Amino acid sequence: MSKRKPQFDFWTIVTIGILAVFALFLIYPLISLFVDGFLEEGTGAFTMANFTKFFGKKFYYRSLLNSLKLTVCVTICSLLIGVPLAYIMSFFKIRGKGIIEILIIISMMSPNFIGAYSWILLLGRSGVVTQFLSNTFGIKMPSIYGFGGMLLVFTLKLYPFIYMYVSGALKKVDVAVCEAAESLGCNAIRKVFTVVMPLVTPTAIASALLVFMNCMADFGTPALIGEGYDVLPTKIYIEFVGESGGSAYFASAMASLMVVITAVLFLLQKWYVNKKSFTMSAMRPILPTRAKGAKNVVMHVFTYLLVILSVVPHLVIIWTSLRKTEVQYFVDGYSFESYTKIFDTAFSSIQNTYLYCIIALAIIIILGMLIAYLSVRKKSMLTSAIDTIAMFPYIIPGSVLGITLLLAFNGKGDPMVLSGTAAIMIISLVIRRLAYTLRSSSAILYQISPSVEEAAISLGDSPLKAFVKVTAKLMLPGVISGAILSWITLINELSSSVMLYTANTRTMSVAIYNEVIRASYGTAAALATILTLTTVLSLFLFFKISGSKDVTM
Amino acid sequence: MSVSITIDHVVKKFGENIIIPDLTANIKNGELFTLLGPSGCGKTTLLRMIAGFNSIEGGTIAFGDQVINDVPAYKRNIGMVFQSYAIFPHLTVRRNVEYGLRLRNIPKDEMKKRTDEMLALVHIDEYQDRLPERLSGGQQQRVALARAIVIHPQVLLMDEPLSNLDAKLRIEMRSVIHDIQRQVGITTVYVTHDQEEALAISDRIAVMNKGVIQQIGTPHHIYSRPANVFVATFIGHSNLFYATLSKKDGRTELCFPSGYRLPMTTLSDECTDGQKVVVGVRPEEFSVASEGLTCEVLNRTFLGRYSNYFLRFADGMCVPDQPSIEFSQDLGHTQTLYQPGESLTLRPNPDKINVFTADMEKSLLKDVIRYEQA
Repeated sequence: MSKRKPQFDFWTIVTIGILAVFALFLIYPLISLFVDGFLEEGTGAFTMANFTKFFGKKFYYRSLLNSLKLTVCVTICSLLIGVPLAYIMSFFKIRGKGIIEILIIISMMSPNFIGAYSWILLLGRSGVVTQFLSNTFGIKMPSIYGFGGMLLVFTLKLYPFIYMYVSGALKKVDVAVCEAAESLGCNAIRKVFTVVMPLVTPTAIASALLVFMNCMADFGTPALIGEGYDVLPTKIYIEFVGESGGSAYFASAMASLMVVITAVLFLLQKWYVNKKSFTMSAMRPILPTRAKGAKNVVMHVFTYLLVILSVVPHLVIIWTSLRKTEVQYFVDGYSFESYTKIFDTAFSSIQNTYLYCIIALAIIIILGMLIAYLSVRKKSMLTSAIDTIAMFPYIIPGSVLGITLLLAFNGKGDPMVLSGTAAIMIISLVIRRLAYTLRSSSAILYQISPSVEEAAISLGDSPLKAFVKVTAKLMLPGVISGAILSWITLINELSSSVMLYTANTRTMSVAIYNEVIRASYGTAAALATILTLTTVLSLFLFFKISGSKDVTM
Repeated sequence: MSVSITIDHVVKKFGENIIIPDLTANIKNGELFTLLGPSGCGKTTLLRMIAGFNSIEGGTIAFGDQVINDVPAYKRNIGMVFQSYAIFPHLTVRRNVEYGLRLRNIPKDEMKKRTDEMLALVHIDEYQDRLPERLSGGQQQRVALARAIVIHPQVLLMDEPLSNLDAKLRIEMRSVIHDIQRQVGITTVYVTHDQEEALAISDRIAVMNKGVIQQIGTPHHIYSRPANVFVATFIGHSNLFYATLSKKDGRTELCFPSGYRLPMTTLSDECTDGQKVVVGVRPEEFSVASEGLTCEVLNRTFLGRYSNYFLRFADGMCVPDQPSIEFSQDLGHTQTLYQPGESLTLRPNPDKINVFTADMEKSLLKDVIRYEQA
């Protein structure tokens, strides 16, 4: 018998392969981003000038302060809305709860910038409501552009994250814990503050971080309605692609700064959750009861108002897409003009979106399953390194990821030239949205006993065959539900794509962004409608396959 | 201060569904009173009515002289131990125990003293700064017990507190609960479906079925003198035989269908000659004899201290659809073991066996007590 070298089995090759891919497309670009931040424009010599320039001029550091101010306000507002909503929906009977939850999830999954865009359509300078109020009553609405508008759009878009997470935690609270508090002499209000809220605090903090990162990193919303209110992502974008003599190195310095901020926050949150975490499981979950009188009315009004505000943007977009336009102005009447127009001007962007996203999704599914398998079943230094690296994109804002990839693969001594290709778009999509599929795949893998696969091997299958024929098939339901979430976020991706696209590789979200900037509201609405409908259909597919409405990301 | 509990003609309905039609019981101050019954018999429902988590649709429940029907749970001053422990997972062991004291605004130093004492009493003082997640089930249950008792409640309510523990811990914890309850001397209502646990721990047991108390009594009385066939078969095992009473010249005899006659002295005066009855014989109430009931050994389980035999009697002897007919042979005084297929003659002990009406609803023994007072 010849001795087989164990390091050359199938899984070792996969480990090395994945590490190589990550090293090339994630580690190397990130390192070059940090390095570029310290390089001087023109000479390429080492310098701190980029950072002194940023912190020295109010014109630049203001964007950082603005970003922080906006993000903190959005996070607080989202908590103030999301936590009470979760409490109300879990403890009390609200009419139409099922539909409300679906609507909340839809508004959570739709892209940020579509919300911003539809609020412009409503409350912008020539918005429907603005015009109506000033023509009929002579009332001047406060401007939707700037801080206030962004706060509105971001809060309405992001409170569902808090709601979903906190509701999930409340589902795990055992009624007996509440009853124990009561039996010890605790009244209803004190119970909420000494028991219920502390139990969901770690979850609320985790979801608040998600809101924070999402808001901090978002490019589309501030680009559309930020106007004078500069934030870091728009500043980076302008500096990077700007016609007015932007500097890639300076942009890199700002981008590095942003990665550092999000990374620090991420680590702080990890530390806090590890320290404070406890597991809960409910033998008897909380059953909603019917509230009486004014309390009941107030809770219903609060819930309905919130849901209406969350859904209105989507309805406005669909309505707008069906309005008649002349040149760029809306006129009375309805037509499908906007749709026929996009088939002429933006059809390639629709094609690109579906093509890139399907390819990216296929890669994501394969990578996600393999990495999940490695990190759950073949625990080692290398595989846990892979698992950690795969979570990096959580802390890298989309626009920053776009920049890193561009800087790393645009020629001049780089390993390969990819800028302007479809490949770079797909690579950035894969890196950004791999995590959802990866996490759902590992989750389901923990529930599958390794002995099932061992049985297949004992009966004569090779490890590869056993994985494909047995384990992979058992993993499929979990993988698919994660893949649908990946898919939804893929088709709606703007922040990174807007950095990477060219005329030939434009996707729908980029096209919408361009159309809005050019004030072609009709075609933008038509594209946004297609995107929203795809999202909603995918979501229903998700509900059907996963059999639940638990969308935790 | 611990108090007595008076449950007076209490009714519980969920919508149109009547769970407890009419229930009366008195629980003495300081007593450990167990509600025992199969699942769905209404025992937990009754406990939660006492606690205030279920409404009361009729009758009254009083703590001492005070009717508490309309007092909300958090004002009843009860201590409750839950099946799922219901420990606050976000608080350390010490903070869990202190929780009720803080709500009562107990001064700092007294709170510390009482908490220290209680942690020591249930032997969890070494874990006091840990989060409960890192404790075993038994330790968590000790925390739950400490948290409930430290507030000096009027009554202690325990809802199947041991059913989530493994068998060995269950036995250990039940003596912990028993000892602490005695030491503190607090009125305790204890719910369980485990008859062995009930027998081991209780001062008195109320056996419940379908929302009705079948019998209240000390563990010994309930086991030896069950009020009806339900109690006889739910607590311990009883083999049920058909028989007819013969009452002549002041002698009362049980006539079994095989023709065997057993003279009886324990029957009440209401028995009549020729009355059809059901006889309950526990496995240990048989002894091997030359005269008695003849049967065949189907199977044998050797258990060290005794040997358990599964038997078959001739058709028409036994009440149909019993899970098994058993005889347990005390191995302290015998060498002979019987083999499957062997024929055996067994004599029931007339002083021990129970006799019920043909409808199985009522015992015909003279010293049986349906509702035994404490």
